[in-house]
Amino acid sequence: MARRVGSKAMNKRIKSLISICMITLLAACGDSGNQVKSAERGQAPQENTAPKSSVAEIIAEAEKVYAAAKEREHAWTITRKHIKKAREALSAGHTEAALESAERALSTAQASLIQAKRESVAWKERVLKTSS
Amino acid sequence: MNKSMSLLAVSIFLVGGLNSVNADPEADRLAMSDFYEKRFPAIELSAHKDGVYALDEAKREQWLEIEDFPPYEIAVDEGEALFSISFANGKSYGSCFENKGIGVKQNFPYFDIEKAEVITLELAINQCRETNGESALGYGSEEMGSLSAYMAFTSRGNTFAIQVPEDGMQAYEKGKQFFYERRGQLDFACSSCHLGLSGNMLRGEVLSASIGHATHWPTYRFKWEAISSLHKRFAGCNGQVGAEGLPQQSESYRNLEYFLTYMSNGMELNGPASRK
Ligand code: HEC
Repeated sequence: MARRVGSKAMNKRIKSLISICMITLLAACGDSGNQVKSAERGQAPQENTAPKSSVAEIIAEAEKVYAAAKEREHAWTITRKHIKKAREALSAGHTEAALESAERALSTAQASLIQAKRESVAWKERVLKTSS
Repeated sequence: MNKSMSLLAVSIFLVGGLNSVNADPEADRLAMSDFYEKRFPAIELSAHKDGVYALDEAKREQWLEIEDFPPYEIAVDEGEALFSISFANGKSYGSCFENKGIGVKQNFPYFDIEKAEVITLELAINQCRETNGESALGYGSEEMGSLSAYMAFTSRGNTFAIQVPEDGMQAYEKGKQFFYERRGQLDFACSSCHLGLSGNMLRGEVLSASIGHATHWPTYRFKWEAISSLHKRFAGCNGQVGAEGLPQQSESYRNLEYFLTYMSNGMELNGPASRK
């Protein structure tokens, strides 16, 4: 019964919805992916160790942005996971891994805050209207 | 009417007509009913009170078998016992509600003008306790689950007629906003799944319609192995898209419940229920 729903118009709508989601997903992944890569290929391995203090600063910044998104009830679970991983890696002395997680935490926190701001207006476009 | 007045009237009409987010709950409800009627022409609107089982015949049959020996029965019995005990001051839950608390769930949530907030059944249960000198129950507690299950059970067959007074419009609109806002890393709104994709499969599950989402709570979920609230479900759905859920009975979830329940106006209460 469930599969019977698909009229052409509906399929089209679903397709466009899915593609919008994919684009957003890709954009989100692409974002953090780039940052990771730049962190990885940045310098030669022996110089690659970021100073502890700057990693801590990135974590602090990620926490700040995360808190702002949370305040707006738009926080993402992935941000919290990356913050936790970054903190753990840093205290274990794995500065590189800490940097990678910190940057991911920051980029996802930023994306969630952008989403919160966008959605505070964008939702209105989606409200169903009577079709008469 | 002078010229500028009529100009104003025309522009209000134009703005209202072209760019309208309905500022009228009843218009929202009709638009949503209309949407599902067109999407599922073979399914009566009232059938959506059974959620996914209104849409999937095979799953419905399995579910009806389960409902022969309902997994929430124990909770209802426990709830009845809890409901009738006396507080230390000699009063009981019945003293806090209309009709002694029997068959009243259809009146929740409502907007309390004095307190300027949405009052859900669970919140009212705790307010009742506190007014009578008892400590509040945890919203995820077994006791809260059982009490609300019993109260839902006594309300079966009644219909929702949620009102939104002028003072309550802001809470209603906030609930509506929450419903339509995209959240989480997957960037989905409630409406993305339960309107736009309703009837489609997602990870082995058929997505149910939002109309009827409020009729059957609390619900026993086999996944939770317990009876639990609508707000726990909200948090679960937030989590599915990578968004952080909110605490049960937070203001935003109460507003969301207010909006969703209004969308179920005219539908029969059939809680508690069981779900996968
Ligand atoms: C990624 C898709 C998705 C999103 C987004 C989503 N849900 Fe769900 N929801 C599901 C699935 C899957 C189920 C289980 C199958 C069903 O009943 O639809 C479900 C079930 C539910 C149920 C229980 C239905 C029942 O019959 O008991 C409610 C209520 C609900 N969702 C509300 C919401 C609300 C409110 C939001 C927004 C905060 C939301 N959902 C967002 C996928 C989603």
